[in-house]
Amino acid sequence: MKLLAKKLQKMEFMKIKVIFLTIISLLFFSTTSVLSQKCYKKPICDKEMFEDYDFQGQSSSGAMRAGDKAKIKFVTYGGQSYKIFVCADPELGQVQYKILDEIRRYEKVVKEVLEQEVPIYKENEYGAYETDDWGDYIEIGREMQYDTIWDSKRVVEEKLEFNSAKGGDGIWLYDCEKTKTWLLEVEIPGENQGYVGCVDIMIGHRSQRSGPRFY
Amino acid sequence: MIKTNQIQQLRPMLLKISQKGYIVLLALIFLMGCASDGEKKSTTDDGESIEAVEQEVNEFYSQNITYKLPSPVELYIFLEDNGATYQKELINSPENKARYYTVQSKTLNFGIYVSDLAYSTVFGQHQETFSYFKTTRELADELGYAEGFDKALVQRVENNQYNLDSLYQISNDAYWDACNYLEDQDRRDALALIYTGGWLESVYLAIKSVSEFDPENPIVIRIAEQQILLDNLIGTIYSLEPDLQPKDILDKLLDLQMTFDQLYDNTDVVITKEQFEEISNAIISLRNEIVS
Repeated sequence: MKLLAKKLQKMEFMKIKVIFLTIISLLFFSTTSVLSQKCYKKPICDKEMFEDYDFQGQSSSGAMRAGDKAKIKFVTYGGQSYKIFVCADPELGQVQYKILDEIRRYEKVVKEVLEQEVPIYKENEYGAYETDDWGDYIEIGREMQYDTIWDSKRVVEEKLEFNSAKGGDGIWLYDCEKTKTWLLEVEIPGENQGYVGCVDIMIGHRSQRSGPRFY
Repeated sequence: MIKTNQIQQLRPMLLKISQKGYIVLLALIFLMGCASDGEKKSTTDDGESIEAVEQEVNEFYSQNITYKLPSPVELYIFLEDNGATYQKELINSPENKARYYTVQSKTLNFGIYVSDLAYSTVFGQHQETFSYFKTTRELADELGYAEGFDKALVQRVENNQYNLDSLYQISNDAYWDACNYLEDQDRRDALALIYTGGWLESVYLAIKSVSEFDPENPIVIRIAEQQILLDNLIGTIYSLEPDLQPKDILDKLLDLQMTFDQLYDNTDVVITKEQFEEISNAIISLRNEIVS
């Protein structure tokens, strides 16, 4: 009986231990989660990099871990200059990013080709249909007629424009002539690990004509 | 907030399982991500080769991508640089705020009022700037977006109410903080509506600033270019979980996109007069429907 009680006590202790460990691990994960929040409140980039560009608008911040990838589609307006770079928590290592030029257009594509057998009518020397005594066209044979129905399809072409892994200071400077869309891909090196750090994707702009305003 | 691969898509499911299972699942998702990336097209590093990918319209958008678009402020600065004048009678009256009962109409009109606030500050309208700041703050309070509009900020506004440059920066900061807060709280559904309201109002005001159509007018060309921003705006909605997507707004934006897509057929001009009129009517009608 005593042995059973002891066993039960031990089981109870184990149960408490499991619950305790679960609570601790939950606390750990929720702490990590809380830490990962509000990355925008903890800017990582050196403010000197901002120069006179305005980074409010399309910049983005978030929590990432080793092995994570993120993609952002952004727009550059014609007549504006852009400065783009990525800053990350040093614990995440050397974060790389690419910028792909997105060229969009519509292409006409064949949706369906309709086949139909139609009669061939007798024509006079002027190309007009001849008629019989009843006023009907005179059928002299039949032929296949094809009717193509067109559809339009959106086509996207991607061209690598910038790769921070190729060396340099990791900053992309661009004078935009025509408004267009870009795809930015960020990759955290390494394999998936527990450490979660903040990453700032900075997309800054300024007018090519009138220079910075309101500063 | 930056989205990472498929994790966001599976979030509701992830929340239901234990933390240990979460880790295992994360690892699996990571592996799945690696595998699917391997199947996707790749671009070469030489910057020369081009790869075309044909996509159906719905496949054109991905839940793994965060879509961004320039703030209305940039369009207003462009309008001012190109000779547009401020038209007070066009912007949504603060009195209309009482008409908005549903969360969706409040959120859309929050975007519209923030856009009007930016319009007023860019065009140096002191009284309107102050009035629209007050309206946006009240709506932000009602909607629970007070992050960008806290007491410290109100104090900043009161201290700088006669300095337009400061008011511009403060308004911008408030909007930016509110958006970041919503993104951080994973309230991208609200953000999509705010972007929609803000964008619609800016294009509406740009259209109204064109007195006579001229295909060479920089403002007309910029209005045509809004096709690209509309694509990203629709992407913002498509990237939401299906049950969070505002279907009625999405349908209206898709209709608008079809109107804009006629521009792809143009060869010698960016936009024709007929196309401009059709796009203008569609924008005006949708914007008026939202503010009424």
